[in-house]
Amino acid sequence: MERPFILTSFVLLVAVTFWTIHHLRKGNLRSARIALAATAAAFAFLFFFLTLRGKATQACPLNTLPDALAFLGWSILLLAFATGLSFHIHLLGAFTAPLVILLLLPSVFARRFPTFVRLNPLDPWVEFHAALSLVAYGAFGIAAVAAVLYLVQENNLKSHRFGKTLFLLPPITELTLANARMTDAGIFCLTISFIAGYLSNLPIPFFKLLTSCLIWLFFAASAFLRYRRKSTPRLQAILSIACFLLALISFPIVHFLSVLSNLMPIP
Amino acid sequence: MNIFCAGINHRLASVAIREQLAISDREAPCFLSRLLRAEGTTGAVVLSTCNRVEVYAATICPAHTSRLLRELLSDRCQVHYPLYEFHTPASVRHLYRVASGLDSMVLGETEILGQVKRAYSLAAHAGTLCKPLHKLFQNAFHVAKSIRSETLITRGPTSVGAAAVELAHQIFGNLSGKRILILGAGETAELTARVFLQRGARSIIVSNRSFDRAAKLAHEIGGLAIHFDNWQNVFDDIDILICSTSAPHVVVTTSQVQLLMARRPHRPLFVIDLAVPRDAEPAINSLDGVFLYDIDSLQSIVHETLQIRQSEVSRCEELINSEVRTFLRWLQSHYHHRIANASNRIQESVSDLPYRTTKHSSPPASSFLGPAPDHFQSSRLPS
Repeated sequence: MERPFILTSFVLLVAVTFWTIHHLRKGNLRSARIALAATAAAFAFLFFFLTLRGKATQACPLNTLPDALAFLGWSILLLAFATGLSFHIHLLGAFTAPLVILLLLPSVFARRFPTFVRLNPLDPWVEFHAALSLVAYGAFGIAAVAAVLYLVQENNLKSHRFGKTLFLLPPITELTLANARMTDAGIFCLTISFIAGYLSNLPIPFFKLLTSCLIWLFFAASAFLRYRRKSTPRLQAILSIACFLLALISFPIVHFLSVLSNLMPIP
Repeated sequence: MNIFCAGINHRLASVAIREQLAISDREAPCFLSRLLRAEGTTGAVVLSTCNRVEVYAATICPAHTSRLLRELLSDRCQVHYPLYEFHTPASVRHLYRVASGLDSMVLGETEILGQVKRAYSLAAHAGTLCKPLHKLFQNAFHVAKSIRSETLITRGPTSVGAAAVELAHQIFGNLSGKRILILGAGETAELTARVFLQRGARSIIVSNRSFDRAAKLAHEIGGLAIHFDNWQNVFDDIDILICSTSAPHVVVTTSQVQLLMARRPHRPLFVIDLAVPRDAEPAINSLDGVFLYDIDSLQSIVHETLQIRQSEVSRCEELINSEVRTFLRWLQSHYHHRIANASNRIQESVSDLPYRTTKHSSPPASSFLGPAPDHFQSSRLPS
C-alpha cells in the first residue's frame, strides 16, 4: 500500500533533477518554478508514505534504515522549502533532489516494509529524540547543499567563468548565510534531541554515544570558528560538507544500534 | 484589413534625422488624429523613441495611409526621408520584434517594452485605437514577456558598469548598505560608482593622490574623501574596491590585501580594477573571499552576454512566428465574423421590407403623392 507513494515521490524527484540539469544548461529560469511544484508534490507523496508507515508501526516511522532515511529525506525537503523561501534561494529545492533521491533508494528497492514489535513500552522522549535527531540531520543536509552551491558559484566567480549558470545561481553571501543558519539550527536540534535521549531511560550503546558526540563536536567547532571569525566562507562550506558526509556515513551504524536496543522485527 | 507599419530607426537614419522626426507625447494625439483622416484608416499608434519613429495603423487602404503619413512627416521637417514600410504579416512580426528588443541597438534591451506600452496608452487616451490594434499591442506585450522569461535574450550585462553591478549582485545579493572605496578619481571609476549608488550602495569613499580632486569627486557624488595614504584604514568597512589610478605600478598588492582580509575573513571583497596599467596585483584573486575583475574580464562578460543573446535570436524568432500566426488567425476570424454580421444585418433589413409593408398594410406610394400630373404620366408612357 505504501509503495506507490514512495515510488511516485522518487520518480518526481528524478524528474526534477533531470529537468533542472537540462534547464540549467539552457539557462532557463522557468525550470525553478516547475521544479518547485514537482518537489512539493514529491514532498506530499513522501509525507503520505511516512504516515502509512507510522500507522503500520504505531510510532514514528524510524524503525528500519529505509524508513529512517525516508524520514531524513522528508525533513531535508521540508527545510529546503523553508530555507529557499526565507533566503530567496530558488534553486535549493532542485539541488536538494539528488540528495533525497539517494536517501530514498533503500525504500524504493525494499522488498517489503516490515512491521515491528516493541521490546520496551512507547517512550515519548525516545520518539522525540529520534525524530528531532533526523530533523537536525536534515538541517545539516541543507547546509551541505547550500555549501555545494556556494563552492560552485565561488568557482564561477573566481575563475571568471561566465557560463549560463553564473547569473542563475544564488549570490554567495546568501548561500553563506543559509549555510550558517542551517548549521546553527542543526546544532540546536541535535542538542535538544540529546537532552531528550538523556531524559529517556533507554540504554545508550557506547559507540552510538561516541559517534553522536563527535558529530555534534565537529559541527559545534565549525560554528565556533565562524562566530570567532577565524574561518572564511569557503572553509565553512568545506567543513559543512565534510561534517555532513561523516554524519551520513555513520548514520546506518547509529541507527542500527538505536533500533537494536528498542525493537525487534516480526518474524 | 491591413496592419500597416512605417517608420525610421537607428539602422536607417542617423540621430540628426531621427531627432527631426521625433514625435513628443504632447504632439502625438494631434498627429494620430490627423493620420486617422486617411481614407480607410481605423486606428493608429505612434512609437517615438531615441532609436525609432514608427507608426502602426489598421487600414484597408495602406497606400492612402502611407501617403498621408509621409505628408505629415515632411510637414514637420520640410524634407522627405525614406521610410521602411511593412504590411501584414511583416508589420505584426516587426512590432513583436521591436517589443522584444530584437530590433534594438543593444540586442535584448528591455526599456523598449515600456516605450511600446507608453505608445499604446497614448493612442488609447487619444482615442485612436481600434480593436485589431488593441489586440496586436496586447499580444506584443505578451510575446515580449514570454521571450524574456523563456529565452536568454535579456540575460546578462551589456556594459562594463552593468557587468560590475551584476557581479556584485552575485557576490552580495542586495547592494543596499554596501560601501565602496574608489582609488583614483578617474571618470570610469566615477561612472561605475554612480551605477552602484543608483542600485542602492550606501556610501562612497574617494581616495586620490591629489586630495583636492578626491574632495571634488566626493562632493559631486555625495561621498567622503580621504588622503591616499589612509585608504587602508577604511578597508575593514568596505565591500567594493574600485581602482582607477594612473599609477604606473601596482597600488594594491597581494600581501597588503592578505593582511587586511585577515581582519575580516567572513566578509567578501569585490575588487574592480579599471586602471591600465592595472592597480591590483592579479594574485589577489586567489585569496579567500576576494574577487578581482579587471577591465578585460569585465569586457569579456559583456562580450559573452552579447554572444549568448545572439545565439538566442533564432529561438525568439520561432516564438514570434508562432505568435504572428496566432494573431493572423484571430484577425481573419475577427473579420469573417464582422463580414458575416454585416451581411446578416443587410439580409435582415432587406427581408424586413416586405414584412413591414404587409404588416402595416401601407398604402401605395401613389396615395401619398396623389395622381401623377398629365405631362409626367405622358412622358413615362411609351409613345
